[in-house]
Amino acid sequence: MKTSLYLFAGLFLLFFATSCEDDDDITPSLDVPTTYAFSRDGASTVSFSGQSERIAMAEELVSSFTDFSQTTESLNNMFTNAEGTNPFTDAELNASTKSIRSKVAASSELFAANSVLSAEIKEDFDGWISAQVNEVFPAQSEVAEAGTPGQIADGSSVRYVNAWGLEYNQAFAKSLIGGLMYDQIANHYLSPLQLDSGTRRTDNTAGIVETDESYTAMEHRWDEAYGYLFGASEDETGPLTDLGSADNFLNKYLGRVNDDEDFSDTAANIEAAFRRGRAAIVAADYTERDAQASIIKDELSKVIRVRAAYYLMQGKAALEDSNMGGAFHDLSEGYGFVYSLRFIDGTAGEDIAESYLTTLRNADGNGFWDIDPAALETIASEIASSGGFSLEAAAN
Amino acid sequence: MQRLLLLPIAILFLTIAACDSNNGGTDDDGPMLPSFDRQAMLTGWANDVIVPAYDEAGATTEQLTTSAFDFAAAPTAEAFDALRADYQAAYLAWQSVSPLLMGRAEEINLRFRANTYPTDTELIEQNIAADDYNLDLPSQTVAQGFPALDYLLYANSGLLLETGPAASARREYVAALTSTLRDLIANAASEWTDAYVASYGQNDGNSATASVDRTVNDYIFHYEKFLRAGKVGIPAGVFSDMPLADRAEALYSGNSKTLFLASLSASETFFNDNGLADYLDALNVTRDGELLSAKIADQFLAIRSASASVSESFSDQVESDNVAMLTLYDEMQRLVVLLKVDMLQALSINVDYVDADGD
Repeated sequence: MKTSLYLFAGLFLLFFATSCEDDDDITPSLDVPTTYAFSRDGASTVSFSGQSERIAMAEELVSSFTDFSQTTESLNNMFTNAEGTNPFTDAELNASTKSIRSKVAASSELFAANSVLSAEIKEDFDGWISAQVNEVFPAQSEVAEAGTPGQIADGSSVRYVNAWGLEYNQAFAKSLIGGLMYDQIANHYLSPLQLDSGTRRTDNTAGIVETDESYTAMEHRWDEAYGYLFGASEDETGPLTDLGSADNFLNKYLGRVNDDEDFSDTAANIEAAFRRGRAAIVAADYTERDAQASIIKDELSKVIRVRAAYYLMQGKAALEDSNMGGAFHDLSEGYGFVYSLRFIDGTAGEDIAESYLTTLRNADGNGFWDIDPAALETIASEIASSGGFSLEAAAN
Repeated sequence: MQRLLLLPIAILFLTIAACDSNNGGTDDDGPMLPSFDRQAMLTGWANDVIVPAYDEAGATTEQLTTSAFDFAAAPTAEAFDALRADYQAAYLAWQSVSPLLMGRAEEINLRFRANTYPTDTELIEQNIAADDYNLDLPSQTVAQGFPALDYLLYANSGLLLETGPAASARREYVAALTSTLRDLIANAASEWTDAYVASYGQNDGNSATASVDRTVNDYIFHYEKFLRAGKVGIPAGVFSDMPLADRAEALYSGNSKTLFLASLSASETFFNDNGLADYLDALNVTRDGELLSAKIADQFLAIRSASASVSESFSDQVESDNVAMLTLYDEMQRLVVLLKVDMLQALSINVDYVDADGD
């Protein structure tokens, strides 16, 4: 007991020492607003409509995966928003010049000099679309079995899986969280490659705005990062009020992770870092800006890791309970989150994600139908340990 | 920053906990109870609860199937009355099976195939019109089971007594629903052989996969999701903006309360008379100076008493006076806390299910 008293005292000291040190780091002059509202000469400088549009496009595309009247072409048109095709029910989206596919695996940091890999990743997404139409649609009224696509029951829900148990719609949607939202935020818009490109830093310091706009180029890049997370939020300046229900992508899963008491400060940390970093840009404090960018990146990568580990453990539990439909649904979501890991750690992440996906596909066996539950736990615990959290924290 | 602060605190707590544990010389592997025979409790669950419930459901669905095929062969008014009566009996018997579905029953998705409501009347009519359907398809779950029978036997039931191919296809569909139900229940029941009961009883440890943990989890899961939410909370609009009258069980026959009370009795008896109350008493678990088992028994009584104020048709009830339904729901919610928090904590059982994330 004595030992722990000393330890107690020691830790207490450490505790205070740490907090004191940290206090010194804070730049007292930085004026951080309480909501994400920034203006110049009375006009708002915040804009991220392109991100909101892409999120809306992705929603419609993903929900169309289980609309059996769709074709490869009509789904591809939603993915690329090809000119003259009008694939969406919302006319504004049809009129938009934006598309989802062009921004998948398209970050400056990971793909500017790796167009080969970028193309391969885009082809994975194309492949999930065509496989849904060519493999799963014809099996709409079949009961799925090992080696045969079709329906499988998950409680009162019906899931449509491929021959080895994967739901392509889940694989697509959850991979998009890494391949579009996370990659664009963390590896693109929050990167100095974007923020400081060309004369952006000197322009921002001098307050030189973009042609016909109220914002500087750097401010706008930062806001575009914000938009991939909060672009569908009801209140764009205070986005935590409908956190988790604003979209079915990164916002939703940040909400899920934040609902877990082991990670309950995640959303507040991210929202505060976005505000603080944006205020730092206004104040031309680039050290502070990058410190906040780094917080956002760390926290968002944790969201993806936690959900990947979570779904693999949920899938394991369901398999052990012989609840195949429930297991396949969890593993399909997990497959997409594991796919998303490749966008976290650059090339290292790429290799790790590929090796995990190979295990999950279980091509020598029957895919999810006879995957070893212990292998799922092995992957989940590696993901947890690389994220610096415990498997137990993620799995509940 | 917050994480940095938490780390030393966490280490501190771990250290203290470790010291305590060393001094006390105890471990927390769960309740150490040589005086309580978990294996006997499990064997009782199998032999006195699960197997008899399956027997009753098996016999009543067999009778139901016979009546349905008789009616299809000779559609008289008498045969129709007999069919309805047998349907009521089988639906009632089902309520005692539903709380403890595990193993094969889960693999074949028995609960959902037997009792998913609201039923999809459009799909049912489509199936009858096409005279071609595969009830094993998960997408057909909403067009079969007791709720589909409830629709066919009570809504526009005159159609069943008409002549012509449409009416006979309708009667054949009813017959197919009954034999499907019978076969599913028989399939799930057949798992409970003597050998299976023995291994179920021997798996009497205290881990997530041990029989006590799994059965108690299934029992509470049923109470929370199907008895509290499904039968009462959802029609009362607890999870939506407005009451949802069309979500009531037995919407067309209007017998919701009879089915509800049968389900409530099954849950109540299982707790009071089949081991859990004794187990808690053997551990001397008290809350606020009272035995937890007594508090739980009292709460079952409070639910029963609140249900006296609601009418037989829950669909009518939520439209005429939803406050009575909400009052019933609130009493049921209080029991969730006693079972899921207090009881599970006392028995060192972890909840093995989470709310589905709805996609």
